[in-house]
Amino acid sequence: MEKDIILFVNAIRPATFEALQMYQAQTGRRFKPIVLVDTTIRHSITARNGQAYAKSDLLVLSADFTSAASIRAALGPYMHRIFAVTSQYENSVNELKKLIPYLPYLATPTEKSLEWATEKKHMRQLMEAYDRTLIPQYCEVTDASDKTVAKICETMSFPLIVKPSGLEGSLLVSMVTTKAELQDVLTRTFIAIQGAYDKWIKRQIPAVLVEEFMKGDMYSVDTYVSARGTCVHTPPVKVITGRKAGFDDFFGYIQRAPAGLPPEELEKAYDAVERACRAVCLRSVTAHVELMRTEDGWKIIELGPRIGGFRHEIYAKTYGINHIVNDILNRGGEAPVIPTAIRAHTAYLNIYAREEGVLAAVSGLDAVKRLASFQFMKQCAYVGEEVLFAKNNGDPVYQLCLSNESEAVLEQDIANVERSLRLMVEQPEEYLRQKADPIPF
Amino acid sequence: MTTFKNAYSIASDPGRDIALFVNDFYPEFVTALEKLSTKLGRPLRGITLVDKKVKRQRQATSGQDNSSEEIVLDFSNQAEVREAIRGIEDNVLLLVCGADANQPYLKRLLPHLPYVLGPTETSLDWATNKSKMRAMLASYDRSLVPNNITVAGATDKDIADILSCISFPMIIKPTGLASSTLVTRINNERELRNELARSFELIHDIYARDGGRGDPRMIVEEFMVGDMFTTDVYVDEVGHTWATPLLRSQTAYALGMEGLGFSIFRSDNYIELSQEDVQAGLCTAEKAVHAVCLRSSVAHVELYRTEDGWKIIELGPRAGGQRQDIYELGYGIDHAYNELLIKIGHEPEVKAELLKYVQTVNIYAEEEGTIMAIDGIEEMRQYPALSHLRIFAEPGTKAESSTNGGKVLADCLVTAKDYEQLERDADAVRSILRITIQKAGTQTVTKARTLGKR
Repeated sequence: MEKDIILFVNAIRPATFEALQMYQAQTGRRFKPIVLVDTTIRHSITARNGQAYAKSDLLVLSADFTSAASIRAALGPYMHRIFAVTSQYENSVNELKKLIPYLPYLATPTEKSLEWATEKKHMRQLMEAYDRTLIPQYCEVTDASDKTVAKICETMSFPLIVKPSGLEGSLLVSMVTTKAELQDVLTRTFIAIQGAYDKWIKRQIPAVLVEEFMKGDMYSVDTYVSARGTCVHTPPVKVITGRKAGFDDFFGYIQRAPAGLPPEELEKAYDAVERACRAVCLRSVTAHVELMRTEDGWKIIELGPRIGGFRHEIYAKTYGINHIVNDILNRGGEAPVIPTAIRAHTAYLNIYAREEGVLAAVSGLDAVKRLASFQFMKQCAYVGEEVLFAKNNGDPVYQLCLSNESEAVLEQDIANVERSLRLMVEQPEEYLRQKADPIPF
Repeated sequence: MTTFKNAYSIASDPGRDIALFVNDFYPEFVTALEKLSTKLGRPLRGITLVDKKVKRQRQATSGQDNSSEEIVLDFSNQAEVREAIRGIEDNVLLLVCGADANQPYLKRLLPHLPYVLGPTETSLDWATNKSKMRAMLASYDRSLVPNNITVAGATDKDIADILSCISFPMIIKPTGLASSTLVTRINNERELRNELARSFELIHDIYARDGGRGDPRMIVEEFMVGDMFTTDVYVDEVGHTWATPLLRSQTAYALGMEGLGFSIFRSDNYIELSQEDVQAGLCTAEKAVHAVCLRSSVAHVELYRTEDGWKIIELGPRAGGQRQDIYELGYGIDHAYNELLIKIGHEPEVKAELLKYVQTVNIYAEEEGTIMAIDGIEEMRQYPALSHLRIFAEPGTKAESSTNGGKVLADCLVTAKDYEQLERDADAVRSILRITIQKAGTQTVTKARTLGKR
């Protein structure tokens, strides 16, 4: 029987349909996507992952992932046609982990490795055991007591980064430079963390890491790890953090490709990525790896067992890489295809407001849409809604993709976006009153 | 950039020369490794990873350590495991774990060796915990298992829950123990209350002693009437299965020795089944392996042939006890070698032609008490049809029924070309070994049972 079904756990990225169509047009091979959703979290996961965009003729199955009978009933008719199973969103990796034992004859990651690759405390512990040089000094903390703070101050050097162990995208990530700041940020992190885990549909027990701040330039690489551990890397993406752009926040402000790394640095970056994937024992998976080029060499910020956010769009426009299909092929035991010739220069921007409050108005949108490099834009927050920084568990207001054959035009258009797009934020009295209660940050 | 190797075979990687064993290294693997080494054309070595706690317990009980090359580590510390594995991970060819009690350690080790063939972590839970196993079997094919329920105690509510869905006679058994330990037949509510309460009094100590899997629970299921058989099934990484010939097993209970409980009294390869029946039995066993989603493993499957067809008693993700010798003598199958083959993605060599009849002789104490003396061992060794004698009993230790957690005191194999001769030899062997038991102020002698012909 032909294996033509791709099982997407919980949700499917909107770009998947076009990616599959393009692959069919190029190769004649047709994959049928099926989404299998865990009924126990269906409502929240569908809303969080924007599944309203999903095509109406898409087959969406549902099952209670705690019940063998329910999973088997849902998958039974399709079991022998499944080519690969993937989780495109980090918030669905937990369900992939539950599904893996029911699909023993497909190439999949080990269940435990998914836990290690989604929980920073495990990730750090394994990387430390595998190669101490991969990560900065860190510790896991369980409270904000004087004793905890004193111990951190004794063993680590400021500046420090405080971050939740199980969240990605710089959510609730803060830098502290003094003991007092550390105590304050830890206190507020522990107050806010459960709410953030709930918002992002994280099922782990919340935990907090403190680690030494790494000074350097940030990059990301998505790597296809085969069933036998062979790593095939996509070209790196350069990440300009909000902090570098003048925000007091660590979100990925601009993600640029090509990254412009010299070949010898590229090899070193790939080597660090491979060691990180090996450290957490990944296989049959795409790893999204964030890393820092520091004076002491390449260090791993974190990794996730899934394709990076909007990496499909960035790689497609820059190199013509069909990242979504490569993820599927690799999980199904086939070689990914990675053209490396540069077609265009691409930037992906996460636009946050400069201050927190209620979004009152937006101006300059039309000008942005008229830019030569403009590709598409996604609005995540609307007028009248509260906007927060990533460190306070907030979404960007806009996500914007620019791409152009000319690097100079792209640079100019990025500057135009920064100049034209204005997000007006108000802090009305009622809002300030509500915020007067102890809030995270 | 690293190149993608699509068609990769772990066996063809010349750098992989280590067979890794979890906690135990069994003697049959010495020869099996030599054979595999010849087949692959490169020297192989065995390393046993032993958990620190297991190692301490062994030293405390036996005071000796016979293992050759081994690495001792704390399996509960993932960083320590990662560090210990790092130096050898690219050299590991295969991973063997041969006892139910060691499966939790294998489960912890597997994620650290992602490029070595092995089962999924959860399938090991499904294949070692009888409650989960039954749920998986039933969700795959309801006809594979009898009605059952799992209870955590012997309260009135537990009893009411059991009575609401299971009819007498019933069998009660622990969810996480092997070897028929604490397995009891129940005929009425009074027995159910008494035996369940008694089992929960004993269960924690026995779980601690035998490395019970999961939390101590008892499964209660409808008693199956029929004949018991076993097979060991090899399953590869894509689900292909190869079953070894069926063996007939008879419990002490089935042979009329109710006091000895449901321990296996003897197993042999004298099968009076039609070819269709054999095929149906093996097919049921293979279904069970798929039902618990095993891969790259050998599975020991116990099943009943009932009036309603073949039913699964239980299975385990490991070779059955004494199967290496039974299959070697009976059919010329090298079971350990086949296990190594399946774990490197190669097809096992399964033969079905009978070479000779083989019977296991399992010896239990007829009375419970303290073992005072064991006599007749040398005489047994001299018996021409006997092989592979193992004496587990030691003077000064306790002899108990399997319904109270007791274990086999000795076992061996007898072989013959003729089945009637096999029966005579087995009876003769049983009569040689004399185990003297001291029971509460009296002295009795446990004699081997002389059984009538089938």
